[in-house]
Order: sequence, then structure tokens, then C-alpha cells
Amino acid sequence: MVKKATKAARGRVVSMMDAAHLIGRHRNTLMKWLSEGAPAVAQPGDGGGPEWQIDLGALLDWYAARKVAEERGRLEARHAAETERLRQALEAADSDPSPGPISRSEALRRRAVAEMRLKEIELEERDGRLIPIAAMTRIIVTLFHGVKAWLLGIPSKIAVELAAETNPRECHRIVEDALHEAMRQIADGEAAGLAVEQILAEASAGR
Amino acid sequence: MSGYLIRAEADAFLAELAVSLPREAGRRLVEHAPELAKILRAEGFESFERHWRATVDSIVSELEAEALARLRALEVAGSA
Repeated sequence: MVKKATKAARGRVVSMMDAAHLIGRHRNTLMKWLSEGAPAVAQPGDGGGPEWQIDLGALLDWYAARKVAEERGRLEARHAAETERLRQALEAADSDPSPGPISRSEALRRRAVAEMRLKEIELEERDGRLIPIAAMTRIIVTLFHGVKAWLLGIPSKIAVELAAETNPRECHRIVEDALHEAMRQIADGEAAGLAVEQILAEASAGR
Repeated sequence: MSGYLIRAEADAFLAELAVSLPREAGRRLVEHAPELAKILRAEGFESFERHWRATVDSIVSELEAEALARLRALEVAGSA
């Protein structure tokens, strides 16, 4: 696609070879892009010389727009089936021919469910992020191991005090106090092996 | 376990679990305190420790199964 360069763009116009060098792509790649619709200021034989003349700014804009379109297409293809099903559900809810108290309520419910799911898909598309259940499972198992290890450490900590105590009520109190202290420390993230912040950071990083 | 979760929901679930898990595990363990203290007095520390471990194992397994079931419920439809 040959387009005359604006005055502002003239300073960015370079030859094909220079463009390839500047953006680090092979000349053949640029030729392919041109055949796919990438913009050029002049082509060989246009009177401007024997070489392609390319506005680098326009070329990069075209490339970015194409990448965005590709990504959008990929996401749309991924969700096409579900989005279509939800659209049909919304249409069915909108065109319910007998809107009595129950059917209208059902139609509204279906609309709410469909809209909620569409919002979720939009959010997922915008953020582009899901996390595998398997990764979350590993994180949760780690969390449980931390809690378990801490609770299993309690008996040895109260052994001396308990051994010297014969009053059943006092034994009970010692155990309860130890549990409460362990719970407090765990809740505060003080327990060894229970680095909650780290676990959350790993989850956020998509582990 | 295959399938995917929406990141924001997974983060919220994990944050809630990190706070509620120790509290709930401790609460359930406290319920066993009288019985464990009785074992300590009657059978000595080794038996007490053994029963303590068995109780903790049981509670943690129970809570872990509950948490994983809740996690599975958050799965994005059709992602498995």
C-alpha cells in the first residue's frame, strides 16, 4: 500500500534496507509485510528511485495494529462458542413471549447470569490472565503444610509445663493457651514455613 | 487437576484462606483439648503427642479437602 508521506513523516522515511536494519528484521520479512498491506511511501519505479521508501512510524503503527487485531482474534476465537451461547440466552430472555411472574423472573435470572459471565470473559480478555488450578493447588497444599507443621510443634513446647502439672483443669488451660498462642502467631504470619506474603506473591505472579 | 481459575478470584480465595485456615484449624483442635489432656494424664507424653498428631492430621486433611472443593468450584466453565 503506497501512501504519500506527510511533511512531518518525511524525516522518518527510509529505504527498505535501512528500515530492515533499524527494526532488526530481514528484508524478506518487510517485503512480506508490504504484500500483506503494510504502508510504503514509494515503491520501485515510482519516480522516487529504484528502492522502496518506508515511513518507519507508519510501518510500526501498522505492525502494532496488526498484532492487536491478531490478539483480539485469538481471544474471540477462544470464547466464540461460549459468547454465542450467552448471546442466545440473552436474546431468549429478551423475547420471552409469556412474561408471567415466574417466566419473567426466570428471564431476568438468565439475563443476570449471562451478563455476569460476559463480564467475566471481558475481564479475562482485558487482563489476559488465568491461573491453572494445579498451580493454585500446589500453593494451597504448601499453606496447609505450614499450618500443620506449626500445630505439630506445640506438644514439645508445652511438655515441661504439662509434665509438672497434675491438675486436669490446668493441663486443659495449658493446652488451650498454647493453641491460642500458635493461632495468634499463625494469623500474624510468624509461623516458620508459612510465608503468606510470599505465597500470595507467587499466586499473583501466575505460578 | 486441570482447568483454570480467574486470577482475581484465585487471589481473593487464597488471601481469605491464609487468614481463615489457621483460625479454623486451631478452633477445631481446641475442641479436642479435653480429650488430649486426658490422654496426657493417663498415658503419658508419647501417647499424648501421638494422639495430638493424629488429631492434627485429621483436621488438616478435612480442611484441605474442603478448600480444594471450594477451589474446584471457582473453575472457569469449560476450561478443564
